[in-house]
Amino acid sequence: MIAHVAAAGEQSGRVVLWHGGPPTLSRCAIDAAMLLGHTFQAEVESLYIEDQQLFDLAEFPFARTINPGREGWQALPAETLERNLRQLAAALHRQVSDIAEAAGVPCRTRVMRDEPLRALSLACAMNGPWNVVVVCEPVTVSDDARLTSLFEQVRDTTGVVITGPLTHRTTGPVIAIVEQFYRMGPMLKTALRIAETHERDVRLCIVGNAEDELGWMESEARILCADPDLDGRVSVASVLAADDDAAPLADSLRRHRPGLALAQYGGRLIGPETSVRPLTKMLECPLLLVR
Amino acid sequence: MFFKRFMPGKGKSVAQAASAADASAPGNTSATTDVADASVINDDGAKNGASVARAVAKAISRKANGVRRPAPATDAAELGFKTTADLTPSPAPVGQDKALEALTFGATMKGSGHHILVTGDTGTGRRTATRTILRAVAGDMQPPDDWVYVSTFATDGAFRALKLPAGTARRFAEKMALAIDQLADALPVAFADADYDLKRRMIEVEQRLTRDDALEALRREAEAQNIALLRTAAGMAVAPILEGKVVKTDVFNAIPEPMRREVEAKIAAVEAQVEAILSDRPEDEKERRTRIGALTEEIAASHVQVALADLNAEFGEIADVASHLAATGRDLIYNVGLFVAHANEGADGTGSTAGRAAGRESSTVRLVKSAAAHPRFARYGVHVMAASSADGSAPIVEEPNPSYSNLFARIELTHDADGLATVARVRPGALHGANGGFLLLDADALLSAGAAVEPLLRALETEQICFDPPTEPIGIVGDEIPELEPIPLNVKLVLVASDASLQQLSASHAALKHMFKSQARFEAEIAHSADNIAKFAGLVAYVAEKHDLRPFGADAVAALVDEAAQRAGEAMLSLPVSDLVDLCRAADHWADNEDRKTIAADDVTHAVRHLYGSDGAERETRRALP
Repeated sequence: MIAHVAAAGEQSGRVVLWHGGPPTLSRCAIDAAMLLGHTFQAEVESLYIEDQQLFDLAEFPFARTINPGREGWQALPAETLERNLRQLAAALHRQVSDIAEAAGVPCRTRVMRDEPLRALSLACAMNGPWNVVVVCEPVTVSDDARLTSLFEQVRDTTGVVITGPLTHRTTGPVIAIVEQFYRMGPMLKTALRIAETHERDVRLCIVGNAEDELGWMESEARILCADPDLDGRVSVASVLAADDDAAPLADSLRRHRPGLALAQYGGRLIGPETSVRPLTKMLECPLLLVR
Repeated sequence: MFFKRFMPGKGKSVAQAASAADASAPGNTSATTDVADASVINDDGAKNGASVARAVAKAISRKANGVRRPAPATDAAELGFKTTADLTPSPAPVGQDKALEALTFGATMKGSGHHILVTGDTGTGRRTATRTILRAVAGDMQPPDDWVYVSTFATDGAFRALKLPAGTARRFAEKMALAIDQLADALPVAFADADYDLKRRMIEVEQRLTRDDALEALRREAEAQNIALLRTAAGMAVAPILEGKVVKTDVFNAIPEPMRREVEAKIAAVEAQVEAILSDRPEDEKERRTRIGALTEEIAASHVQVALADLNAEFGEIADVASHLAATGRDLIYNVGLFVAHANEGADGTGSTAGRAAGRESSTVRLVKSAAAHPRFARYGVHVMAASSADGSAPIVEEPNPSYSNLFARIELTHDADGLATVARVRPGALHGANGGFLLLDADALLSAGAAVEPLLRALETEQICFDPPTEPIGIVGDEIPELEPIPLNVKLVLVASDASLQQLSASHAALKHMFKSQARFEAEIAHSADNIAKFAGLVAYVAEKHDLRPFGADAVAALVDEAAQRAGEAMLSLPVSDLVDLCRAADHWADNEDRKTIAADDVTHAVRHLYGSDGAERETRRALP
């Protein structure tokens, strides 16, 4: 999956910065999008998706919305909904464009109206060869199903970057969490590519259920990292996570204080059957979940 | 008794010889020899007015009456020595045995309230003898406890007094300063640490996470009833759904009205629950603050405990100190923001670690550059009021200017940016320094001090040092003077006075006279006895040694005795030591002119003539005048 992302010479892909949900933005998500765009010479597309369901709801006379911290319910008038959303989108796009310009990353903006995942799927299908979706809002416990659906429905996405309510850091080493041996090479390559572009170190975090398996993977990792060209920029750590327990992995993440983490979707951290809840309590940096 | 150490060993034979001479010498005019340390010439820089008047009156009387009692001639051969080099030099006051005895008795008397009055004219050696005896007595006494003032941390800024074992106060103060420095380094780092940051943000976010959990639970519950919770750009919305999608209005309107009403009721019910979840509750905010406060306290407490560990280890057994250290720990935790603010502000050397590192280059802590010296941390300062000396004896303090502040304490205030006064320093007074020992004051100086006399008497009576300044300004008008806890006082006041100053003092402060249980009176004139002559010879030997003069021959000493006798008359001797020193030095000069190795009587005669003239009355007048 990531092999072609990491390889130089491939036609540039896209980083799709997806917003349109709750108005809480994660600056770290935007920074992560710029980081990936800069690394892979990819364009960032600021994609604002107007949820069609909201327009459907606005047709109802009893439609109204409420925001935390504000007094009571506000009517949701259909007449002004589009204008309000476009204004919001424009503001978001401006913010993203400014950040992109400062980062030296090409950026385009788009507004689509549809059911969010369908719109996203369409957007990713339009351009290739690869897309990484960056979710602009921090994930919440309600996003379990949404994340699963995203990976299921948006087939043309290589990976998804998420942030949590505690995410505050985008500087620091790049940590690649490897739970299966065959992913080690591509994950390391991707991490190295990102790290080199931004003069960071790489931590290769090997996770296993059993000591012997872990030991073997770690030794292979060390052989891989012994390349003189790497110049000591890669360090290897192993985490014993028996019974697929995510807690030791979370501790490791906290300890290394990365600026970006790479992990496999469907691994210990997050997967179709795993709740996002633990991540919301420990994710301090953006997390790139790859297929 | 202590004054016996003043007795010159070799002088005993002199005393015996002189005694024999005394018995046979007619018209013996005694002279008094007044003894004072040669270094104390004119004790207070001027002769006492009354004694001057007496001397002048005597001179005038003699001249007027034409009385010239011939000075008794002292037989040098009977003195029992050849030169003063044969004698043991003795600085002892001559003929003041009673005074010395009274002084010693008063100084060694146990118990409080036994103050000592030392009277006599200038030049009688009263001060030197007093100091000598007090030093000897103090040397055998235990050093008193140390005292410090520390803040109570109360809003009134009051200070409490802590008693510490002798010789430990300065160490206590230094260790406290080091603890503050340590915290100034450690606390900002601790609160900048990522772990603390994460924990704090967790608490900040906790409420939101709890809300998200509640919304998720509500969402699932509502979904079961075909009601959806939508998180939209416009906020949270509640919508009817069918097969997971929001129902179109035409579809909704097509359903029977009772069903529509039912759906609307459900939506309203869910909205009410959403509103309840999203509304800000004051108790949530309060809980958040409490938890952050607890986290801050937890982080701060661990560092404070480490910083104060050394102090607790050394001083924790002392009850009052232990309670103060506990209070300090609590206050440090409560005011942890001071340290963070100090670090944030300190781009200069005062607040920065680099500045403090530079200040610690030497082996001692240079507090002037430490965080502890910054006004921000003044509340943690330890003000040393009494610290025992290294030699471990009782203190003797001599205060030449006994003003209120010099006796009781001086408070130095500083003002912060808001104009609020803070105590920068509490400087001890002489009473603190003398506590447990002796306070030596001059009556004339005390009279000049005026406003300090009554408070001093009160302190001696109540046996407490209470800081209650009469009129002296401390800071800006309106500044509150902090309260200082009284410190128990156990001191012996030794007041050196002339008759005139004593009379004046007693007239203005009647209670003063009754305070003195011992009175040591130094006489201006002493008996012209063999014993005194022997002591006088020892004194001359002492002066010669001290001023690096030639030894005096027996004839020269005899000439000096004759001079002393002539001054006093009536079988007495009188020669203030300042005059004795002048005469001895002048005689040495004359001996030098004559290339003599030993000072002879002629040299003394020359010196007398040179200093005082040849006419007897004139001499007396000249001597009497200042």
